[in-house]
Amino acid sequence: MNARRWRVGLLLLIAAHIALGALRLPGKVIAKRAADITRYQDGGDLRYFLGTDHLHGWEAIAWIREHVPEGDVVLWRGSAKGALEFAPGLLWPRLLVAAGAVPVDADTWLGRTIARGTVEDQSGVVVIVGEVDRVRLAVR
Amino acid sequence: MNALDRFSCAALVAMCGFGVVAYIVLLVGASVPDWLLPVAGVFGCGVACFRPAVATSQEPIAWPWLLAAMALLGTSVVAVAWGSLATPSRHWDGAVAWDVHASVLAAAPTLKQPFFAAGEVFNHSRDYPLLQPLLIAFGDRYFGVGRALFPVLYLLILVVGGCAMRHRCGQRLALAGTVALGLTPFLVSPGSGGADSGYADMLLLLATTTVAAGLLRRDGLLLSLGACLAVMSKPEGLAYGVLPALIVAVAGDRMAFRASCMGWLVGAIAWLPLHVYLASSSVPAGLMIAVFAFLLVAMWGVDRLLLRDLRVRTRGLLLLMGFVLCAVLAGVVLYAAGNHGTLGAYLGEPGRLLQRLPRLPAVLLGMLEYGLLKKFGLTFAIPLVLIVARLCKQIGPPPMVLGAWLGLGLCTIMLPFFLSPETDLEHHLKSSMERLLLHWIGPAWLVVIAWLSTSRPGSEPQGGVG
Repeated sequence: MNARRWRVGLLLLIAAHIALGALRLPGKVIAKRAADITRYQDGGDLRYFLGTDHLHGWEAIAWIREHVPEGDVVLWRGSAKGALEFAPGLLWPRLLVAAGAVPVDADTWLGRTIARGTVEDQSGVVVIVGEVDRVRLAVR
Repeated sequence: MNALDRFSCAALVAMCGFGVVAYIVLLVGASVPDWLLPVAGVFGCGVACFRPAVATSQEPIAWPWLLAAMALLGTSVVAVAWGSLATPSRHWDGAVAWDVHASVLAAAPTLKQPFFAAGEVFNHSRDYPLLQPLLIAFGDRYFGVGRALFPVLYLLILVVGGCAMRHRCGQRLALAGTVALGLTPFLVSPGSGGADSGYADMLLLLATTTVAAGLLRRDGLLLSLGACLAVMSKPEGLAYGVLPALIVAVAGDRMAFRASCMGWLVGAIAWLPLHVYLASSSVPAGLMIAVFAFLLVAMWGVDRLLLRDLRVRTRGLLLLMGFVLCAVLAGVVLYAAGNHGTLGAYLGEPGRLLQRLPRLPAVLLGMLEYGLLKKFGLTFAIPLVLIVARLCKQIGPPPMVLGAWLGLGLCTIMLPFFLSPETDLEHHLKSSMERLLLHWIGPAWLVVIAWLSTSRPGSEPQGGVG
């Protein structure tokens, strides 16, 4: 094989890469993106992230959004890996603070009110619990 | 073309200038002022105006090809812009870390708030660089569309890469290379790490592409900007940013060495103290000054002693030993100083590297699997074919310095799999390899086009370190 054939072959490979990219545009790039965006907009951010086959517990975040004022502190415990990773973004501008770092009888933390409420007939300080594939609410 | 070149230069100068000043402002506990980004933009435009015009090849391109290229790239830009602006980040790291940092900084661009200052607050990737969150935050503060940053980054990558290819390799090959780069499947797909995913990998891809453009054009400004931007984009950018200085030092190019060192050093002086503060809520000022003084002396020593009449192999060996020594020292110092953040966790136990050496075949296979068989099209396959063609003596010599940038970069992305605290290699490869490979698609396409252009019948290399 001579040098010219190698060069033509390499140019054809570049053309093949471009053709592959172009063919992917309607389906993999646009239609898949559209489906993604629609799922996010129709179901909302909570269901999009925490109402899937793998991650659960969007109801707990929805409860906090409904009952805890913005700027307050929500305590957390359990696994920091997994579903709980989404909580700070979904709850902002509320702050998520480690339950172990706050005294049991504290009402505020750095001047911010610690969230309290009634969950499953129990009243007290609300704690969000991380369990890798889900988050849930508990009361301290 | 000169207008596009100046536009990209202005944007890069503005981003780096804004980042460096903003990092220092954050470190001293103040708020980043709203006027800083426009002022950085004006400064960038000023620098770009004084940039000399570049001569480019005048070979004509048939308009149907130009039209087709514009249609393909235009569609991709629109798709990325739509995906960026329609919703906040829809993927893991974007939603759990980068977007949250941007939202917090949009509300108050300072670190003197519990989210950053109090270790008890859940802050995912607390010690990650803040340039992308700051740029998004300021976009939100001005216009409410901070995520417009992502289509801008996508465009900048194409412009920086395209201008460099056109400058050195001719219009037709440059057009093909730019379209090929822009259509790389992983880049434009709507998945994790893609252009509109909200991850900072795009910013790092812009940095590596800028360095590649600087090497190809032997442009000190681009080399400086690329190295600086890499450091301020993502943790791995700190390592990437050192590589250009090493490569051009081995090549014996003093101008390029000084430019690369300056860019990396400016970025590191701005970022490392902030990183230490974010990781441990305090900055050991004496230690930081000692580290930077050591680095300055080391760079001065290389400039004065090594960039002389040593043989390339001797110089390369000495530089590599020095680099490894510095990296190990940096890790141990950071870890000993109580930095158990990202850098401390990776570099603090260098012994892990030796323990995990048997992983090498699995990591290499993983790299080949994800690079060749999955979402990068032929991006990494074509350089391999070029190597085979060269071995068969059917093609001219490679652009050595640019090739070294790509080769060393690909070696560097293997390091996390040896140094990370993560023990599950399969999971680590699955979650990280594609994003790490993404950082190198810009340099890969520049290597391909530069190599092909020097192998044209009758073509001669046009000088430059590339």
